[in-house]
Amino acid sequence: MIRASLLCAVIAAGMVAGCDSDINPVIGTDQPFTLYGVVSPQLDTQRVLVFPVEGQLRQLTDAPLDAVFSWTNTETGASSTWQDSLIRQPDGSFVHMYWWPGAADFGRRYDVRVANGAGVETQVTVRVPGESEIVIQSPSLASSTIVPVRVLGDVPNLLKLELEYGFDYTQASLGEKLESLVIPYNEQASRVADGWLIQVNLARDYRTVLDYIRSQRAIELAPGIQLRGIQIRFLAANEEWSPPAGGFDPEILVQPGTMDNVENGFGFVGAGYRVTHNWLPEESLANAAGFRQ
Amino acid sequence: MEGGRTFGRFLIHQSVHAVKRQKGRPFRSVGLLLGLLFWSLAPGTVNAQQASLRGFVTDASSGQALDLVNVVVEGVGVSEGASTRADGLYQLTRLDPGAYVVRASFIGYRLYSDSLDLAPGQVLTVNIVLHPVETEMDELVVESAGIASVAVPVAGLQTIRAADIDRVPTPDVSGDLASLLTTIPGVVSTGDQGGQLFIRGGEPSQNMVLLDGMLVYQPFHILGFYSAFPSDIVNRADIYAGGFGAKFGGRLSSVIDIRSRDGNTQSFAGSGAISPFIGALQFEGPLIPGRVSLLASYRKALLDRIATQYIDDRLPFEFDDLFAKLYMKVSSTSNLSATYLKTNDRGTLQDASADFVPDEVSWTNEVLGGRYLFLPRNVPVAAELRISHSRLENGIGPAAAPVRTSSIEDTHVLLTASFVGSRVNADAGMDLRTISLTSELGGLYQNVEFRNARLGNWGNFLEMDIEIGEHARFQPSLRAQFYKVRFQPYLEPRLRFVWERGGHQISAATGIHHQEIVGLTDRRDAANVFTAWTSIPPEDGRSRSVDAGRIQKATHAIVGYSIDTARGIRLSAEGFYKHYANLLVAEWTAYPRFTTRMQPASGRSAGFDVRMDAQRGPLYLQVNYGYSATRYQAEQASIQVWYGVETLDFRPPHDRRHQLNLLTGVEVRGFEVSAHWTYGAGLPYSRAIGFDGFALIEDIVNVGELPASRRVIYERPYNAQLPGYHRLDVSVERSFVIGRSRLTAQASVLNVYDRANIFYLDVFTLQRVDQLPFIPSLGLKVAFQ
Repeated sequence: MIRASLLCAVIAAGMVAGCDSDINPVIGTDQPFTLYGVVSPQLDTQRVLVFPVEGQLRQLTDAPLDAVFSWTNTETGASSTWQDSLIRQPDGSFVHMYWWPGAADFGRRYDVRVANGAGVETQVTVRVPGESEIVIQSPSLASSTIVPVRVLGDVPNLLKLELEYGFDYTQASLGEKLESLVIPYNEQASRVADGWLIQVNLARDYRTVLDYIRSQRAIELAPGIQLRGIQIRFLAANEEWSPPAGGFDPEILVQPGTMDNVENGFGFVGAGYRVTHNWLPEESLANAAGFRQ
Repeated sequence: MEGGRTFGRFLIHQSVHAVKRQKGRPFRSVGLLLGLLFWSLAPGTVNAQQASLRGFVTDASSGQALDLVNVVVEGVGVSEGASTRADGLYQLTRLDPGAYVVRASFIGYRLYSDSLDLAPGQVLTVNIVLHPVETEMDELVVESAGIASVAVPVAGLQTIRAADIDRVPTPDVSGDLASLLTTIPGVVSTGDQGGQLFIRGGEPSQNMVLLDGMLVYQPFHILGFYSAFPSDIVNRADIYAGGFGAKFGGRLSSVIDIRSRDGNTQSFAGSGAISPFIGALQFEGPLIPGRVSLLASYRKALLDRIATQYIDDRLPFEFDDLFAKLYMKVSSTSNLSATYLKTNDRGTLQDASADFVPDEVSWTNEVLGGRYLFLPRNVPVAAELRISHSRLENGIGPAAAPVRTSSIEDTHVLLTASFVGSRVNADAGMDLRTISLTSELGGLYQNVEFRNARLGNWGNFLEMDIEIGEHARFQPSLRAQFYKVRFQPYLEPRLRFVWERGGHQISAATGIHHQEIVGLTDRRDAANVFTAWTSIPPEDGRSRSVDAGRIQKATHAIVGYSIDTARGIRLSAEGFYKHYANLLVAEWTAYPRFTTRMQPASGRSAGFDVRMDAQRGPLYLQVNYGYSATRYQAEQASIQVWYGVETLDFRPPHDRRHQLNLLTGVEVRGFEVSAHWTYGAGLPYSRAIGFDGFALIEDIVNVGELPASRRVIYERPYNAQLPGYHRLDVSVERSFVIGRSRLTAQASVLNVYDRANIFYLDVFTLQRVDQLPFIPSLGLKVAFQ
């Protein structure tokens, strides 16, 4: 038995002794670039960061990037080549930023392409949302304090929807105070046939404001909280601009493939514009919600 | 009787007091159970008319305690026996008063015999000194140094003695515990460098390594042949690859319980050894003859001074260790010892140049502790008090300015009482531990992160050893562990069982274990050279972390079988299963940084070990194969978003599937020739697809003003596997007696076929450092007494 064991041992040793110990911890990819940028009618210059996908982690230098950046308006056929700039980071490294002077058009689709010297392209197609209009309707019931607000237009995504309430009240020791409170409203927006519908619940928001004030300081029962105005604001975004779990958490979004819309590469290019609308409800409606003159 | 009732009251008081302090129903039930158990035991354990005999057995020539000595008392129609413990203590209880002959026998020593009278209720202390049979000892040792001396795995436990260590070829003529550990089934290392040990699917940070009861956090040197424990200072080592009893708390996977020997209280002795790897000095002797001794050992690596003179490869590793033990026989019923250990390790990872400072990995251990063992006058128990302080600092980065550092400091107090009955033995105790953790994680692409934590925990335990008939032992135990994270204790029932008959042995063990501290490693380090020590977040009203208050938990199950065949071959096989809950592993991120942010996980390890030991005349052969499969399920919240599943199943970085060891030795014309071939399957690691950058696009902004960071495009976590590790070492040794000295010469070759085994691999920079190449070595050792 000892001889057999020794024989097995020698055979085993011979089998594994010849195994290679080479290792390749980075398998590489043919996808040449990673893009991060924003296309918007509200920006007078369009910008996109371009990172080369490399086989080793190193600080990026100011060396030229082997890339040709261009975009094409798919509807008009107009095409432009973007310029390269170097952005210096706080750690001393450099990032390539490509830019084009001019604003993007509402409702247009743009085909962005970045090609390396071998002709391999990273590409992303983004569609700028169409122009939109905010229509504030009357509550469906006379006694209701829920105000339907419609966003009319071709807007695939509504992000960062929030209402900022401006109000004032009298504090016992300090007199009149003017403040504001931002209330997130993404959960109250829903897609409808001609756009979006936001159900603004003035009574609930009044209670939120009241709780906020009470948590901060004392308030006299009279004259109460006077509503000075509501600002509705959101980001009208392209369809792909949709973070998972509804929030922009960098710890989640840093993972490649999470909210990525780039083909043959990595990253994300968003398209959209910000909307801001100021509104003061009628006094009777504000009073019904709880606000006082 | 009085002693038994006193002991019973002591334990009942413990349990009742604990019950009053705690309101949890489970603990109340356990306390009542303990009380009932010992109340039932106490009256029957020691009758008021019965006497007890106890004492210490030592070697006459050195004063060293002798364990496994058979002590037998024979009276009229009565014969009772016991074996001494590692500290030489024996205890015999429930002896009827009268005249007895006490005999002590141990191989290599003259038989001891004496007569005594025991009075009713007497607790008599008789210390026994055994005289070695010098002229016959060497022959006896040679004859018995076969499979009989090889420890058989018993439900995960193996006991190693210093003589076992010398079987394994090492570059050090003196021998080191580490070289033998890696030949044990279920114990794998990262190779000859790195200082990490994986035991049956457990992570290095889940192992508890004790030296004389003191916790040593990083017990292995940067060269894997060496630990902090040279064989010259080791008395014995109990290695629990799982299923350990309740006296050990705070670790999930394994326990290595090393006991150093005491210094010679009769005469001076010492040795000096040198080889291309290491220089070693060891000294011992009486400070007060017969009462106080000192044992000291110092070793220092000579790799960069000697080996590099004839090896082309870089060997930029330094280490040294210092051990000292002071032993004092305070009285006939008590002794006191103090132990000190310090280790330093440093290794550079790249070549230096005029404008490049290479990264260096380093760690320092410092441990100081004391032990007081005493036999209370009229009570047939042995009591022990241990106090120790341990500290580990480790870092990685440029020499003298590491960018990632982590430290852990630990103070421990342990009080134990041991009772020996005719068929039931019991150990009960309590321990207090405070731990301080600090980490600073900086470096390239990393926002510097500081983390500090202070922990405290307290445990009570009860272990019993019950003989059932002539062939079986049943060892139930229970630990109640209190952690800071919650008020109620964590209960840890455990059980061991052994049955032996006719050369067959069946063993089993099971138990529950908890661990509060966490050792985190970085996915960047494919070979795992730096560990950040941290703790689980405490559970409080403000914490929303899913990790908060989750103490890591493991459940073990082990079944084993062994047989001694008539042809001098011992076969053993052992299967194991470990389930892990509430694990905390490093959070995954595509940012190229190391963080102590953790994610919850669960997991399991399962496998088996088979082993054959054979002795045929002067030829010894050991073959062992271990299979271990470990899978974790990560529960990081973002996994659902990234991979579309709630949990992600993966192989953790310590999942070494296969291990094979072949160890053989033969004595030819006075030369001891040995060879050791080892194979370990490659470890999983996280491979990258590439590296790019990232910027958070969350609004209509000028992206040129956004902070951009570098990013790692990883494959699925731990989707790749490093190459397997294997190496062949051979050695030849011959000893010569010259007067009162012994000269030993050893020639060895490490890595005979020059296998390039990975030591360090940086996935980001692709920097790779290999383990030791082909290295011939010649060592000399001179020992005197």
